[in-house]
Amino acid sequence: MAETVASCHETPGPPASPHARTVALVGSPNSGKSTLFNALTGAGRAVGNYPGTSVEVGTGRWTDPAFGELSLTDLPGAYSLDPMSPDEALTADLLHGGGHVDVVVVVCDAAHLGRSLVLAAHVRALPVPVVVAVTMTDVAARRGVEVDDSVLAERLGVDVVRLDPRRRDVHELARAVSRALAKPAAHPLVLGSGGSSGCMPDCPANCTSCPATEMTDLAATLAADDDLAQAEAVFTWVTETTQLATTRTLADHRTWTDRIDRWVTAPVLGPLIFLGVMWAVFALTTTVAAPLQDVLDSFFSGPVTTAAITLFDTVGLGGSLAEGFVVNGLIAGVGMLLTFIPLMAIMFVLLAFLEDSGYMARAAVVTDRLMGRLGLPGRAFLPLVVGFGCNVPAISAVRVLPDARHRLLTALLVPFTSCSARLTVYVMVAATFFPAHAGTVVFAMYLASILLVVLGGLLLRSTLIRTMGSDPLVLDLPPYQRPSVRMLGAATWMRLRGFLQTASGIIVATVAVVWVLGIMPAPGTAYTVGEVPIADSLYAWIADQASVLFIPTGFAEWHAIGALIVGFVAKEAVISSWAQTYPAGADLQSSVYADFVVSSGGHPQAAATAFMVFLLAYTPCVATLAAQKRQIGARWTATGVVMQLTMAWLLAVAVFQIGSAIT
Amino acid sequence: MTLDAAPTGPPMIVLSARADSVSMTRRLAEMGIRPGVSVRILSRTSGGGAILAIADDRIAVARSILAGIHVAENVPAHG
Repeated sequence: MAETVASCHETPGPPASPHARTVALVGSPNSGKSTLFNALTGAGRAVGNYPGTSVEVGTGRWTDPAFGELSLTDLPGAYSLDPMSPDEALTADLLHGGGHVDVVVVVCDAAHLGRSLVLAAHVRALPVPVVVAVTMTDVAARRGVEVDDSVLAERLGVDVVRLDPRRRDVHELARAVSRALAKPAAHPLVLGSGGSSGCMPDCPANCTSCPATEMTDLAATLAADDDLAQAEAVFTWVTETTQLATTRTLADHRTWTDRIDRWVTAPVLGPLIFLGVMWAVFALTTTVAAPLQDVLDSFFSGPVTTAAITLFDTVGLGGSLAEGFVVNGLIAGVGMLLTFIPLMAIMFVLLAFLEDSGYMARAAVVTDRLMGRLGLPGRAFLPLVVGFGCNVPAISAVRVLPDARHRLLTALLVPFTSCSARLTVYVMVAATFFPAHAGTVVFAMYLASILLVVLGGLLLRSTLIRTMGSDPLVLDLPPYQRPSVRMLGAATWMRLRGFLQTASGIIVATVAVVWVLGIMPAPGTAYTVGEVPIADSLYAWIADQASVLFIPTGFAEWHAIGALIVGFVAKEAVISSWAQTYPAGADLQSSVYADFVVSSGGHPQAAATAFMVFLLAYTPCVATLAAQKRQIGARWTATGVVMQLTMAWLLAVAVFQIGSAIT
Repeated sequence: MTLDAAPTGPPMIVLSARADSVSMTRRLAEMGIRPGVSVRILSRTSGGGAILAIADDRIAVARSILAGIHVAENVPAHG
């Protein structure tokens, strides 16, 4: 397992000023922690993986007149400091590391106070200043539950601030944090040896009833062992505190969320509703995004390219290498990057909607058993389904998984889902080599894609990610709510910005490199740079050299290998660049057929099938790699590439060898 | 009886809650599933699990978890 918990204490994203003090935000999942984080940091925030991990941590600047500027860190949601996932482990590790956090704000959900207090008790047992922020008081009030802040403050021995982050009413919290920063001595170590040293400053000497005294026992309990019997003291304290701090005016009743859940998670209807939702996500990320992508694509290949050429002509550099680089390298690369924007924006809006509304948790329940066979939780279904549209947003969608190990495994499996760009190649190849059964062949490629996901999952779980647990489902179901447009917009923009930051360099650079290879003459030819026909270019030479490796696959000839090299950059470009490698006017299908007959030694169908299998299994595109690098880091992304190329080659060889033997 | 065999609807008292691992047992306790609390099965879910109600908390659990939670009927005390 690579996603070990970081021991370093840097944080990603835009830090506050170098000497800004750090406040960590902790809370259980669904406690309103991230909503509060967004409200506190506004636009000045970023989300990225914690250094050395694939655990996502948000960082940002929090400015308020009470303290000026702070660096705020949104730690992964945790139910306690006894971690069960890499994400929880990071939170526990950073808090136990202590020194780099000046104040910890524990977010407690008033509607689920008992659960929140377990974490609050654990954090309160650490030697750090703590402020407790009580959220969801409106939700609790609707259920007839009132939380008494003063009782909570007394029991916890720290400032307790009630707030509704959706209304941006956070100044009281800022003042409490400011107090905690200004007089750290006011938050004495409640883990001390007992007696008055563990009491609050205003507590009479030698008191025995101070909450701090009780907390001392609690801390001792926590520190002593993680044995269940000892942890029981925490639960007893939590139960008592919850009873003392809450007043219930309405009996526990069936809510409208319960009524919806009765249908949405039901044995037969639940999966059907889930499939409907997945279909909608798939349809929106493909059919709605496609025309927008086309518009952007034609904008870059049309007016922008024309304007650039005109500009070069005006300054007397028409037809120059500089023009070629700008038009075919830079503009093509940036254009390709930007065509992903509508796709990614739609994906991010849908993700935020599904998460914020509460449906994502239900999807996890419905698909848990099915995905459990792959060693993945139910909600991993979403990125895998989206992958059949486009792998790039699918990789980003792995963030719906709360466990870093599951995110890693899913992000490594997504490239095996056959995206729509691969479909264009299947259609051409199937129509060329299997004209009577082209539809069946294309359908078989989709079945092969599902098989590859299953096979890849089993392979990874038995090799690289062996330590991954398969805990049975225990999942908190938040009430359904209407997502706010502001929240959706903010979440979408933040993720989109992050994607562009990571992907832009990789995509533009790779497109430019392929262009450069195409204008460079191959070794031993007499052409000059920029004047070389494609068949004598460095690109063709590299493809020809690489084709040696593909002899056992039956398609070892440079046109096809060159198309695969371009396919590494983007599958959308495979057909057009493949066609460009043949003389103008030549029919692509008959040219490819003729070449495959030769390269396969008379078994073109077997070679074509092997080619499609290779195309399915190897690296989808550089944009997917960029998205992977963002989600799981460079090392796992590189591991994934090696795995894809190895599997693709082995499968292609197997398909051709078996196919040519029986045909 | 264990929760996988318990009826949907009526409140029951948790007698014990144990999972296959210590960490999962502790997680159940952290989620509020611990001895002495009142629990109701709200509905059965696809895959054989159930949605449990513990006060205002709603927790979806797998069938294997249900089998480790021993409960007794929550008979109201009569004075």
